[in-house]
Amino acid sequence: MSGLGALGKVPLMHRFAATAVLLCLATAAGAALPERLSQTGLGGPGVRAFEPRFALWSDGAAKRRWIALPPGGQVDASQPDAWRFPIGTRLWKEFSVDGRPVETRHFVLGFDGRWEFASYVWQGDDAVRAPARGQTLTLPGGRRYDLPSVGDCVACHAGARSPVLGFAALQLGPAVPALLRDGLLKNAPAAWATQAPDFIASGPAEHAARGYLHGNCGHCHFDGGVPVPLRLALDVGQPPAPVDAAQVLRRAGTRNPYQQMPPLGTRDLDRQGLALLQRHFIQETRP
Amino acid sequence: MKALIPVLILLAGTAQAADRIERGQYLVNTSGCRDCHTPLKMGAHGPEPDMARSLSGHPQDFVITAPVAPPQGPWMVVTAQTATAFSGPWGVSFTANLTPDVETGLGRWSENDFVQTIRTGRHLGRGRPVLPPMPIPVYSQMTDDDLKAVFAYLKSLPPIRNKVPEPLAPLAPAHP
Repeated sequence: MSGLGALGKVPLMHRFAATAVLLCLATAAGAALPERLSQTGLGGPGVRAFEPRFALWSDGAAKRRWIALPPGGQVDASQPDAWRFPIGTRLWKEFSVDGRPVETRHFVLGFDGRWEFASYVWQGDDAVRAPARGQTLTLPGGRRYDLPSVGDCVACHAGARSPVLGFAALQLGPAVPALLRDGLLKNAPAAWATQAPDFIASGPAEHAARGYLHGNCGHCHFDGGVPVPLRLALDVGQPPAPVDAAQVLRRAGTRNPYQQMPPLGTRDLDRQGLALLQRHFIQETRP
Repeated sequence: MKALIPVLILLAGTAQAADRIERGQYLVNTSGCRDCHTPLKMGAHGPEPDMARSLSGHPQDFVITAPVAPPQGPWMVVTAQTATAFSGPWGVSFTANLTPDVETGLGRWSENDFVQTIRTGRHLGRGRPVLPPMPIPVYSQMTDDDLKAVFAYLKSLPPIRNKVPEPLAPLAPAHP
């Protein structure tokens, strides 16, 4: 009997568990990410959906996100704003335009401590791994859609305080106590068991605007990030740092490719996001 | 004798740093960095590098506000008089201030920022693309040691305050 045939006698749940372990081992060992999304473990056991509060603008694409920790693995929250993930952690982010999935990005933390990135393009019922150099798609209606290169992925994720941008204390906020209860976090501040981590804001307008900048700019603009005197990342329990609002609005309000911020991943202005920033900053500068 | 060991280690480290700067100077001088990052001025025998502004990039007082219309015929790129600004299908690029001035040059950059910029062809390794005619495809093949040596040399230069403008977008999309 072949190995695959032998699996037929194993209970379904055990097969799921075995698959999860094998996927973790294969990907954590630094094996190349698979050619098809259906081979990455998405939809399998231990995969958990999550949603950050301050989403990165992606030209209006709708996004869904999932995380899977290796069996028994926990996220180390001892640095509240820079969580560390166990070897074998896997994440997915699906991008949909006009209600149809276009791509799903996937990254995995290998045994060597390095993250591997890949993007999968949807074709029918499955998605196929995109070229590492990136690709531009033409969607129905003629809209252009850019798949990131692996270098693009690294540009935003690798230099951040934690390479996982959306699964973080301030991004998950009210969902954090449940993560603690479910045993996904270790070394977290005790207060998080009942009180969601947040930053200090003067009111809802500042909370929304500075949260937006945290989600869209904070992965580069933090202490130790890009060497420009602008700090847009937020810290748990702290108020935001002062900013040059005019500069922020100018760079966020252009799609001149050499001046726009963020510098990659977007061709279209986020008009709602800009309005939110203007509401806060213009109101803030009024006497 | 034991007391001399820290001194010897310090001297060895200093010699190593000096070697690295010297190697960086050699690479900068032989890799054409000054051709674009040091502005030209008009001398008695024609255009010559303005060494008072060595490696400080496009002069901030030489203002260019828009790309030029592409010239007729087979031409693609127009170079400014200083050879520090280039108008082409990508818009207008201005050469960077490579001196260690904190506000306008590489003063705040880390060695990794510099290496990643050259390695990835993105500003600071994660920002906008580094534009033509910067020969990223050539320099990105330098070894890490060579790139670090170049950075060490650039950081050893006297800082020159010169705020290079941001690039200008093309008149029309380069790719329809």
